[in-house]
Amino acid sequence: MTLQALATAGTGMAAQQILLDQIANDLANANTTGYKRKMTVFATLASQDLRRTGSSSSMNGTVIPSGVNVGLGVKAAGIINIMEKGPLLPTENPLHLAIDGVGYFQIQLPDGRVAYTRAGEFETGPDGMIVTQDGYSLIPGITVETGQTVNINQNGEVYGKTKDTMVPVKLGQIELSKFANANGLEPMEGNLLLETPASGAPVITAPGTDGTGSIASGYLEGSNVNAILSITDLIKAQRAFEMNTKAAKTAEEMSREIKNLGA
Amino acid sequence: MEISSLVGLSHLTALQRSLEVITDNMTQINSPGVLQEDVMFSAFLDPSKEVSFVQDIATSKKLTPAALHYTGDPLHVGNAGTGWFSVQTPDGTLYTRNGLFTLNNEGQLISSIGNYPILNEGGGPITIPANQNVQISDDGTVSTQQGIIDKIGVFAFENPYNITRGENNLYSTKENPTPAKDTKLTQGTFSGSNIDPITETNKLILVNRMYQSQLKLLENQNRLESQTTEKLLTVTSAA
Repeated sequence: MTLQALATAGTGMAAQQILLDQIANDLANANTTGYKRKMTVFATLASQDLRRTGSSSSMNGTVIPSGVNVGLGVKAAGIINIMEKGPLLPTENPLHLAIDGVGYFQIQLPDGRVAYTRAGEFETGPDGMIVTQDGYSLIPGITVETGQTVNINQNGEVYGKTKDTMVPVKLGQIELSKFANANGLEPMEGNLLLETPASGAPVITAPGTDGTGSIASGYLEGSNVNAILSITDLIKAQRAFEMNTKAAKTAEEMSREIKNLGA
Repeated sequence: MEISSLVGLSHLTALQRSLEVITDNMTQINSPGVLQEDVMFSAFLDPSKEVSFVQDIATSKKLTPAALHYTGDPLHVGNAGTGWFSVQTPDGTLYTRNGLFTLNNEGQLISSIGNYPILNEGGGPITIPANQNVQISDDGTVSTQQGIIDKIGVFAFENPYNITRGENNLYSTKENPTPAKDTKLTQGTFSGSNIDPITETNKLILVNRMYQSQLKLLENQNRLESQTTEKLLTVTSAA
């Protein structure tokens, strides 16, 4: 039965390893635009009901409702996003956009799917289309003519102006998507997120209307990774790991002694 | 077998059970809303032979509120009181102190682990309109800019020890829930576990020592028996 304790301690160590991996990933993304820090959630495994039903408390036949309930350990049940707003970092590039409030930019993937992102680090492609750093175009495709300076206002309206024109020309309208549970979006490489059944279908609105956030041009939303919280989590993980190795060691010592019994 | 050996073995079994529970406590240090468990032993009397065995009776839970951890997520709630949130699962209504909540795609408040709906005071699910600033007050009232939406149910039981732990930090009980009186929720935090690593480490050392000494006792008894048998054989052969 000390083998059960060893197995239980094993689950603890494995779970803390996952926490460690999550913290390392957070710290690696401390400067990634639009990154949301994560949290590993631990959950109990099922408990074993070592219930000897009707076991007697004395020879007189009195019965105690024995309920010895031994837990079998822990699992990392999920890694959730902490959706706290990241800091707005000024860059003075009019194509760098941050969303002040809720909402996601819509990005057209080459395979036809739509991805979503908070990372508004846009630039113009060779044909003038506004694209992400990976070359995926921002929906709806907005083209900037060569020589035009771009101005994007809070409502997502994109205007272009050359030295010759007096009045800026409207090039397009950026719309944002909202979700019932943005936490349920599936992360993809390149700061992109995909719709899932858990997130719900996207609701597309113009920025600054109906509760959707407005667009801040010349800013980027930084990562919300907080180094202090990450280091605190690191200490928690290390301490928990040490505790589990202590328990495993004790279980090992006790089972070793049984072997020596009767020798 | 000799009664003394049986008594000793009952002690060893009890200590192994103790070790399993202590180890499980160690693994749950970072599990939100999980309570520390202790095995309670009692004497199993054998009046005809005037000895008693050790029997493990139950695992009791430590009910003190755990420390709160900050996350900043508006749907996470920590409770400084001793009440329980209730969740609707396929196995019926279960209870938890884990306040890590999120929304499903219908806007219902659900638990992050297992996606079970969190219930209000009346036992129904709580629906929150999406993408609005949600405020959760210290008595569980959920409101947005448009006013009060609902109230998270926080419950207590007449016999608070009569709970059994299951999977996913959920506890079950046969008692009827009543509204908890000491509820004090803090939005943006969650309750950790109330497991004290220092006492658990001490218990580990104690269990180990008791195990070693009990084993030594059994060894001595064993040696006594075999020596007795040897001596008896020697006497017999001399005769």
